[in-house]
Amino acid sequence: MYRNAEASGSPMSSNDVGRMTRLAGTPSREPLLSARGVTKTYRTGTHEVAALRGVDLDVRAGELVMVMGPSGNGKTTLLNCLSGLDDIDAGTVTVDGDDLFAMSDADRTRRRAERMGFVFQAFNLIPVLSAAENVELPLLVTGVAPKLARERAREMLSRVGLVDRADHRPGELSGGEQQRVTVARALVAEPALVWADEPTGALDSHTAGEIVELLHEVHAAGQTLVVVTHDEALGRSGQRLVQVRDGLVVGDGDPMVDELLVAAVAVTS
Amino acid sequence: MTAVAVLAGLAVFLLAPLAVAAVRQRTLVAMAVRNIRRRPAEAVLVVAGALLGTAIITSAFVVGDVIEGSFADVARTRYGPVDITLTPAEGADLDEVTAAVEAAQIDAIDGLLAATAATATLEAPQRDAAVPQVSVVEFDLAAARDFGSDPRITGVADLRVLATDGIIVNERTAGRLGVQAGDTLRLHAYDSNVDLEVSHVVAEVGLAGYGGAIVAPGTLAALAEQAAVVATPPRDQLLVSLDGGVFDTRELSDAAVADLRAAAADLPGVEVEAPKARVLDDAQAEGAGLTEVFSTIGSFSVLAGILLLVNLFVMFAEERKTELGMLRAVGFTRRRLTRAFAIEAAVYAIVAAAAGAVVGIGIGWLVAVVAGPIFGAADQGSGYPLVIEPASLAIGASTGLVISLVTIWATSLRIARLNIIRAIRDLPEPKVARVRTRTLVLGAVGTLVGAAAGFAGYLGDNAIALCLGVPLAAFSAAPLLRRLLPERTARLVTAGTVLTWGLAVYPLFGDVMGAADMTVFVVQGVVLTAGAVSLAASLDRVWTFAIERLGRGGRGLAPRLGIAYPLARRFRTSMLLGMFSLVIFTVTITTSFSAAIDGNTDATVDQVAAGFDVLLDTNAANPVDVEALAARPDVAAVAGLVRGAANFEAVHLDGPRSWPITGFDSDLLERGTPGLFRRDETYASDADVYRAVLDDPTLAIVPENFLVAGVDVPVLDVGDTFTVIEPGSGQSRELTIAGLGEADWLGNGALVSRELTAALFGAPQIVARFYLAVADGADADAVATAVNAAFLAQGADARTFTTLGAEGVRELLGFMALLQGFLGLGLLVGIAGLGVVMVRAVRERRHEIGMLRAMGFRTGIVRAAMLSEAGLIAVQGTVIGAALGLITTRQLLLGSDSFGDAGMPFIVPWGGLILILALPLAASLAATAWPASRAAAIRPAVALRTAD
Repeated sequence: MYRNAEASGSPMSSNDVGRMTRLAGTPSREPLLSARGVTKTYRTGTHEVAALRGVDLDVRAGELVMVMGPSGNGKTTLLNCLSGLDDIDAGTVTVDGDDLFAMSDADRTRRRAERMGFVFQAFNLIPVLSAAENVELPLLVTGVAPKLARERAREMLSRVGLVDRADHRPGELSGGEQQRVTVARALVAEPALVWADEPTGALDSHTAGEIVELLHEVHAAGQTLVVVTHDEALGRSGQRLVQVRDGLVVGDGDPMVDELLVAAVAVTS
Repeated sequence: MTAVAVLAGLAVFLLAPLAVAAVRQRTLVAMAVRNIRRRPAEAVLVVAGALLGTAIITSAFVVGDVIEGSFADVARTRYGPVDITLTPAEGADLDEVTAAVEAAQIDAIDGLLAATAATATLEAPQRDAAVPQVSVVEFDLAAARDFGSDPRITGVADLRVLATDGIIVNERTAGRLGVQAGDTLRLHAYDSNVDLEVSHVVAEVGLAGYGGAIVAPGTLAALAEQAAVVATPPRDQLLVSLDGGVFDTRELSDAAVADLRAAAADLPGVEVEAPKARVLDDAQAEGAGLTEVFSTIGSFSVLAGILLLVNLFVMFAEERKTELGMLRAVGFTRRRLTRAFAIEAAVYAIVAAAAGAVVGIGIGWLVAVVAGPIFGAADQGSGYPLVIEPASLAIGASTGLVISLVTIWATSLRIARLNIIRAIRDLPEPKVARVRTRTLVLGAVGTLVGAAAGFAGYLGDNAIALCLGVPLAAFSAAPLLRRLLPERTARLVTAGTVLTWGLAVYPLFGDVMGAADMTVFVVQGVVLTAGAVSLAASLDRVWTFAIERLGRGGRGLAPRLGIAYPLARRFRTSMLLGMFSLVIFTVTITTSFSAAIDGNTDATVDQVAAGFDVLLDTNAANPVDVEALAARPDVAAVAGLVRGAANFEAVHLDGPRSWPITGFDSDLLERGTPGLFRRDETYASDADVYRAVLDDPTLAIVPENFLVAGVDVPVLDVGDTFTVIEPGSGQSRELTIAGLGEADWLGNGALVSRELTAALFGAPQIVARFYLAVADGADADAVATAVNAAFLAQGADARTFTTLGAEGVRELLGFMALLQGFLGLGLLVGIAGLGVVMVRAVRERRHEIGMLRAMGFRTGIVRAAMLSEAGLIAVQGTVIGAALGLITTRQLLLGSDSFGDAGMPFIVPWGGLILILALPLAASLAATAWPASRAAAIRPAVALRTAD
């Protein structure tokens, strides 16, 4: 289905896609993920940096949450801590009602494998594996039979428009293609929640547009996504915009409402 | 010293540009130092990996030095001031000899001492112990103290007087008898005996080692006068000391011998010998031979070390790729970039060379201590002095340094060719679709050179050129093949050709290959390994298929990840596989040879024994009466042998060399024929050869290692001639080799007719060695024990051929085990290398490991993937090496004529093979356990966030 959108030949702007898909995902009332009072401090020798200072955040199924904020203010740390990639110093993070940090590392790892997918700015594909082999990894780790995993990986690559590049290694793919592979890898196990950290950060504007479009299509298909980004256009194309500053959530709402408010203030002033 | 100078020159040549760059551009030095300090643990690992090659080279030289030192120590313990002996013919007057020498006024001589020596049996009745044959000497103690320029080296400087009923024994003899001062010893000689009181037990030094015991002048003569048996009489000798101490008289010896021969020319039958010079020369030859053996065997380990170095520096460069790309971007020229990288690597190389030399001393000494008893060094010398020639250390360290520096330069030059953008963005190098014209031209030249070398090797009987020519041509032709065939097919064709050639060259060209030395064995091993490893690295689809098949049912995720990196990085994988394969190849060959030797023991004993059961040696000064032996009810047959030592000359020798010679008669052939290793084709059977020797005193049967020092390769073959010098007259007789015997366990030396020994040693001939056949139903061991007890006074030393065979095989197997142990060092290179490579792999793949963990890969899978990777490489390398080793051993044993007409059985050493396969795997997994745990412990967020 994602392939169809790309194949239309008239790529929409990210805002167009955002407006269209804003209505597509219908968030449920129960939070898929709930964070309360999450704090995280980095210590380097005697130097301490409070990266998160008591963050509260809920993510509901079907939401497309954009996280924005200045560099070094805790966006990536927020993603890492809420996804269980990094430890937290205080607070709780519950996924499907279970406290992520009350689990053992093995259980937390299993929960990530079963319920989460990841897209990173640096792609982080395994360079010695082909695109299909990279995509099938999350399936294999959850015990899917290799043959079935390969079929589903190819299917997923087909959805992101890369089935003809399935046997190529990352070094043989362009940046945009590599990021599409990472998206396919993040989605292949049908996770409840996909985390994307600066997914367009390493791409040129045209390719970045294609990836944004792909993410919106994914969301439109019902996928829950939390996207950390610097990209203003991408940030405002989601259903919900969480703004982070100095380790705190300073804004959380509908970016369209924000835009309207800004416009109203501008008109009235 | 020439080798040291050449190596030092090379090292300076390679280091000088770096030193100049370091002086001119301090930034480069600062970068190097800070990089080393930034990762001290990894710096230690690199140095540890790099020092192994130096350690192996150094240790080979140290083995030679220590063994040489141990053998040379005999000059101190058994000769001291005794450099030359003059032995007049029986009945001649020693005073005349002394007068002639004194009259000659030879400058180099600083002392003369008259002595008398004989072999006797010493019995300690109170201790119920006996030593069958001990050299007993007589001389005037007062004169002995002043013999030579240094009383301390005489060993008798503190002894004042010896009573006529007294005896001085050295510590070795006292230890064997368990006696001390005051005890009584019974001396048996010339069918008589005398009880003597031990007056002193002295250190085995100088004159106190020249004889195992010293008795008062006249004691031996008194016994000999009463003799009613035909026996070797006491030998009067004039002992000569040359200017200097123990070891510094060698240079004077040859000239002094010539002068003494001239001085004694008018006195008939005076033998002039230089025993100390012979000891020192033999020690040197033994040491040099062992150095060569261990250097050659060690070259496999050194090659493995080179592969490790290449791998380390290639990984090192890839890890620094982004950094190096940035340096190019900010304006570093290729030249400066090369030096920036090479300076840091050179620091590692210098430290590794120095540390490797020190480690090599320890390894070498350990090997020498284990090797010593095998070569008898411990029996003769006083231990294993840690004698190390400065040149050995210099050669070891500088060879290691040069190898490292060449590797560093080659790697640095390759790195400097990086594409700046690809380096900065850490992108892989694109595949070159079309082979460059320059590469094609070079490939064509290489192909022609290889083909020409192979052809020239065949025509000129040069095994190395023959062996290397085809592989050189095949590898050089690879770029041309890539023009014609798909890349994978081209690789497979090249690798297959090299492997096939390595396997076929021996069967096809056995005449050229079989005649070559051990170096060819190394070359063939390298060719085989290169072919097999290239083939294995190209069979990626096969390995993937195998892993997928093995991993069905969800078990194969870790192995699949584990195999992905080795398959994708063929160069690195080939280096690692090569390391393992080379070493396992040689370990397998030595193990298979050991199995063949062990399995052939009974057959070898049968060949040597010729139908007899027991070998009996007796004291030539008090021999057993052959009639008395034959009359024993437990003895069915007796063959007596006349055994002595004579000087021989041959084309490969610089001068006369003393070696045993034994005269036999038809009795030896009564029950069979001692088997021959090879015989002249004019004889129909081995028995015909023996019969021909009996009939013709110009023929001889010699052992394969006749007139060869230490472990040097045999030089004499059937049909060759050599010369034996008559001890009395000094006349030469030319002998022709009619047959070659097996290794000379029994020390018979040259087997000749009794007619010849009579001519050499005079009549009557003293039969002191016997082959005994035991009566039906008698136990050979029991007969040997009974004979020893019955003929104690005659110095009887009887042992069964089975025991002697077992001892001989044990010594040989001991040496093979030692070689295996030495090769184990190479395995250490492989295992340590794998560990180091995996440590660096963890760093290199940090982001990817972080991503796997983020995706939900449990720590166990990450750990198992790393272990699988190491295990797969170890298994592949081990299996390749073991398979090639078995095939080569089979070819050598069954196809080569180096193992005689009878050949040797090829036995697959299953027990050893299992160890060979299991140990490296277990050790590799153990070496990878730490990096694998580190990889598993990486926190995903940290790995994804940071560069290192």
